[in-house]
Amino acid sequence: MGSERRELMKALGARLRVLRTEAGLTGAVLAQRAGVGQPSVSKVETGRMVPSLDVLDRLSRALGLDESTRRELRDLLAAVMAAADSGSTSDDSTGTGATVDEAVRSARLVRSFQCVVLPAMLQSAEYARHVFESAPASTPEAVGRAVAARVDRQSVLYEPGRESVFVLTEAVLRTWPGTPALMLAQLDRLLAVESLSTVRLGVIPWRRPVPVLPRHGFTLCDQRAVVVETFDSERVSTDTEELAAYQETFTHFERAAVFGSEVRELLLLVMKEFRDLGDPLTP
Amino acid sequence: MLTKWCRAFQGLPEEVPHARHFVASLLADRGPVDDAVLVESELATNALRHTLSGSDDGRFFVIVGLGDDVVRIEVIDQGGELVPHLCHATDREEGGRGLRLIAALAKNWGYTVWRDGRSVWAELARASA
Repeated sequence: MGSERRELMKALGARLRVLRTEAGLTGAVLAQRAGVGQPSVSKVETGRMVPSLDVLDRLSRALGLDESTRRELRDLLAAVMAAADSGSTSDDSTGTGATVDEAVRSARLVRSFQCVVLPAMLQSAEYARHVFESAPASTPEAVGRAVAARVDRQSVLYEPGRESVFVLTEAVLRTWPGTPALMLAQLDRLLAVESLSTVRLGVIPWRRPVPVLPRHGFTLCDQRAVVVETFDSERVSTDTEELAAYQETFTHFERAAVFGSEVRELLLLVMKEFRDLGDPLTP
Repeated sequence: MLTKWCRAFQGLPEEVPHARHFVASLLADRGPVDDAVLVESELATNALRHTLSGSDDGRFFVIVGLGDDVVRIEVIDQGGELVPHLCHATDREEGGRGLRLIAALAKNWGYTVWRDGRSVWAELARASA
C-alpha cells in the first residue's frame, strides 16, 4: 500500500510540473507567487511531499488554473490521502489542516488525550477561535478559515460506525478562554457529546495521581496515525515507534480516568463553580 | 489585543508545578517560556504562602494573556492581610524577593487589591515568531 501512495504522490507532482511548465513559470517564481517555499514546490513536484489542501489551492491560484483543473488536482490529492501509507511522513499542516483532516476522517476509532486545552473535536467555535487567535501574528481571515475547518471536521462525531474516546484531565475542564460564560456553553456541549452512543468521555479527577503529563495533547487515528497537538498547531505522524509510544501513554491515562455518571456529575459540579466565579475573573 | 486563558487551581503546593506546566504548554516553543514559568512560579508560591488561597479548600487562578508582542502572567488569589511588596535583600521573607525577581524580569508589573482577593501580574516581551 505504501508504494501505491508513493505512485499517487508522484502522479500529483508530475501533473503540477506540467501545469507549471505550460504556464511558463519557474519553480522559484511559482513559489513566490503562491507564498510557499521553493523547496516545498520542488518536493511536491517530485512526489516527496504531500501538500496540504491550503498549499495546493495556493499553487492552483498562482498558476491561474480553471475550476475543472483545480478539482482534478484536489481529486488527486484526495486519492493520495486515501491510500494507506506505511512509511513515515510527518507533515506540518498549519494551514487548514488538510492532512489532519484526512487522518481523522478515515479512522474508525479515534482516541484523544488532552491536558492543556479541550480536544479539537470537542471545541465550540468560540473556544476554537480563541485557540487560533492566540498564535502570534494571527490574521482574522486565517483564524476564520481554521475555525471553520475545525468545526467541519467535528461531523465525524455523529457518523455511525465510528467510535471516539476522549480522556481529559480535570484541569482542562477548569481552563477557559475569554469569559466564564463561554465556558458554560462549552461544558454544556461536553454533556451533550457525552450522551452520544458513539462517544466515551473520560476525565482524570484533580486529586488522582497521574503519569507525567506531556506538554501537548494527541489523537490516535486507529492504529495508523497520531495527530500531535500543541496548543495551537497540529502535525500527523505515522512513525511506528512514535505511534506505539503514544498508544501506551493513552492506555495509562485512560485507566486513570472516570467515565459515565461520574463524568456527568463532575461536569455539573464544574459548571456550578463557573457560575459562582467572582467579577475579577470576568474581564 | 490579548487572548486570555484562565485556569483554576487547588490551593496546594503540589499545584505549583501544574501551573508551570500550564504556562509552558500555552507558550509552546514560541515565547519567553523560561521567564514566564519563573514568574508564574513566584506568583503562585506567594499566593499560597501569604493569602487565603493556601488554606483548606483554597483556590488560585492563573491567567495567561497572549498578545503579538507581549505575554501577561497574572495570578489571582483569595486575599489576606498582607499587601504585595518588595523586600530588601536582607529581609527574611522570601516572597518579597520573588517580586524583586519579577520586577527585574518583567517589562511591567503591578497588582490590584480588592475586598476578597488580589491580582498580581507581570508582562514579558514576546519575541515575534
